[in-house]
Amino acid sequence: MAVETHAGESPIGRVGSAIGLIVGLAITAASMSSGFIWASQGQVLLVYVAGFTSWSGYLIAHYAEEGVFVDDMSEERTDSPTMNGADVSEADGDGILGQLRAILPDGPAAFGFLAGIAILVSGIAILAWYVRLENHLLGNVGSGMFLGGYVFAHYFDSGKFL
Amino acid sequence: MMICRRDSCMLPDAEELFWALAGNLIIGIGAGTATLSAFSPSLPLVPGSNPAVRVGVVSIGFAIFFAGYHFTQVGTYLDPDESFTSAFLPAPDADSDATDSGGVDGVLLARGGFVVLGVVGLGAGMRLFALTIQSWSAKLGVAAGVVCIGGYIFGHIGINGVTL
Repeated sequence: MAVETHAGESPIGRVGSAIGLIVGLAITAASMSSGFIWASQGQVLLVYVAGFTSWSGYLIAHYAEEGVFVDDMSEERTDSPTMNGADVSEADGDGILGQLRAILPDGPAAFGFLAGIAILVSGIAILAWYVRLENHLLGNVGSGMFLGGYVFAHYFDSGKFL
Repeated sequence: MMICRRDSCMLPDAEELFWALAGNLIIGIGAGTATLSAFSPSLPLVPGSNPAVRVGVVSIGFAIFFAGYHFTQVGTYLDPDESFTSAFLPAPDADSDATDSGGVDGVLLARGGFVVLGVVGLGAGMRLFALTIQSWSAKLGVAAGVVCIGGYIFGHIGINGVTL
């Protein structure tokens, strides 16, 4: 398995990565907006198509940013510290509560994490409003906030956008 | 594991792409089922209006979604010496005391419980989201968001051991 990293990456590569991230998340946002509107209208086939493309967009974004479609979490548990500096593997001896404490962000990162969650939750409410109006275009405001909030919170949780 | 830079390793290999697309298909089925079940009283599986049944069926959709994600993850990083089935199914940590004594692994049980909480939370959140659209209330919309992301976090901790 080949894994790309941003270490030693060229500026052009970094721009390409950012474009892939944005395009992928835009596909997901549009799929969510239209998919929920179609669901409210009972359009079965279109909803399944939107369900598929919403995840395809995420895969594109994740691949562009991380060089893999999904993270290898067995490696993550042992190698990658969390944003708050705690290594989850070091909490193994503390039981379940110790592991939970280790993976939750704390300190300044906790504020960023919670801010991202707040944006995400607001996005869901705004998405509901525009789905109710059956506005495919402006539904992207809500789904975009949902995804943007997720990226924000994820960054403060792990130091990575996705 | 080989590490390569972006300019020399731009495209995914065929096997990696296969696991991503196969998981994407499963996830599409799960997401579509969850969404339709949350919105419509008769499509595709839910004939009644019992809230627990409605949330349960939406949660089944999310369970399929999680299974698709796990499918891609396991397939992509499968050890050549291990079968897909044994890697896909939950197993106690090799370092666990329970493994040595033949008992139940508490961490494994807790993570399984978190996955269940995750799919039920997402199911309930998605149903609240649908209700918000059918009868607008800002408070209900915020509640839908909080319950959804709460469920997602529980499920993600259960599957991956990290918050998001």
